[in-house]
Amino acid sequence: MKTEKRRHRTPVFNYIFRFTGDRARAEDILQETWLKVVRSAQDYEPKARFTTWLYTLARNQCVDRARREKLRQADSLDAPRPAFASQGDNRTPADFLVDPSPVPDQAAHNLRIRPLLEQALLSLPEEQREVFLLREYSGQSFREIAEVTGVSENTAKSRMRYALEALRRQLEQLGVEGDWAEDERTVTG
Amino acid sequence: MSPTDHDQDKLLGYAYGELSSPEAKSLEAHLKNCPQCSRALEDIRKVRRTMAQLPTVPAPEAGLDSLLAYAQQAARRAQAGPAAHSHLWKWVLLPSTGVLAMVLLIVVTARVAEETNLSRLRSVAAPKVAPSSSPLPQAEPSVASEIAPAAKAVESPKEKETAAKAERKPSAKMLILKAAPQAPRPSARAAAVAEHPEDFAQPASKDESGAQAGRARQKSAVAPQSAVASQESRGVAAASAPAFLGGPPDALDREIARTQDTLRTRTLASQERAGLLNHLCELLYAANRSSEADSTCDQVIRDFPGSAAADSARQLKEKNQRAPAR
Repeated sequence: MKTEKRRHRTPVFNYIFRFTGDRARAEDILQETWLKVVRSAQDYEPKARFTTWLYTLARNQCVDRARREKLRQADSLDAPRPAFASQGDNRTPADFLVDPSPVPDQAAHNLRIRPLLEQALLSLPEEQREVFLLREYSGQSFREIAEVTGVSENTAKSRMRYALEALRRQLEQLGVEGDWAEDERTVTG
Repeated sequence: MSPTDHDQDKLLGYAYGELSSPEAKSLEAHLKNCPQCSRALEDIRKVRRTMAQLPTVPAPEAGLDSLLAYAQQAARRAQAGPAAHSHLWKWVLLPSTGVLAMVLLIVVTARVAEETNLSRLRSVAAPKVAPSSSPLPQAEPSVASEIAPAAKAVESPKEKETAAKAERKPSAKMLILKAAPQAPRPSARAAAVAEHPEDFAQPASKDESGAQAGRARQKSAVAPQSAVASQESRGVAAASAPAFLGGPPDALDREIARTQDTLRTRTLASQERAGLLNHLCELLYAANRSSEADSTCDQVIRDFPGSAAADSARQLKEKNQRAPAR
């Protein structure tokens, strides 16, 4: 049982964190989600998958919070990102594009491109972002995503397609291709 | 002509493993003749590969376990409803089953103890009986003295192995404390030869236990090097995997599992595959899974000969290589 709790806690938190882009906010929403889980326990129908129910609650909390606080969509490249700003780092994603130093290994490469990936994700409209997060990181099927988000499966797939296309364009623009060039540098520009 | 929405949905289903087997096969056949769909699928995979580099963030701990436990309990109570009291009989049956189990355990334990005492009494009584017969008392001490070393000889390989294992731990600890980065490897064998020249000088000996003891000693002499080498490999691998230094072991294991999953399930460009394998190699060394790391590095060297990735793998392996314990 404890393993199951751990199993859900981290993926749900990651979904909320990647949706909001802000750790402090995500922690609040997670706590509210768990409270909701406690209060709504008697409404849980055993025939529904537990994860579907859980992500529905989490997703609703995120959407409600976003509406209440009018969460900012992705800014221009020159604006500091909330996650970095809270860590005392005022560099912008653009600074990472012109780093002239060679990429010694994949771990360093990951560190460099992480803020760009976060930026790209936050640039997606909410309905595309949530579908992408649920499919890609939470492992929910399109049918389950449709249940969580309250749309048809076709709509969920359609949003996913748009999300992938938008990410592809954004990543291209940011110079993050994911392929290694001959000398193991990322392809930029 | 670009793929239609319907085709795109199928590509999406295929990329995420949601198509049935016949649908997947049909799509694969289509992809062979449709460069647009192949390109679209590759675009999906490229984005997924790139976005997969976002790490998993650890969730905050406080208070959630108790909340979820309460939620699950409440859910169970809600489902059980008014029928809960009908389980009262369990409150009678379970304790009595427990009591019965305890009684059985006590009885069995007492019996076993009794039998053990009896057998001890018998073995103590036996030598007292033996002196009454004349040839035996004289023979017995010598027989006993012959039996004892033979028994010791029979047991000695196991004892020696256990002793060797016990030796390994403290001596490994001592060597870790004193570990020098450039421990010369041949000297362990030289030390073992110097310590027990008789083991190395003897040809195939009749005394199997002696040869086994020699091998066990040799193993124990060589084993500390493994500890030194693994210490080195931990240090080097830790230096080359800075992203996971100081992080929880769970994160490292998850990253290893995720990288392995990516390598196993996704179609990767050759360069990327090589890079990912190198990454996996570093992670495995950092996790002190040296034999897996060695295999992974070997795979890069074998599959991508002459490439920068193969050079990198070779260097990684050399830095983390263990002493040849043979």
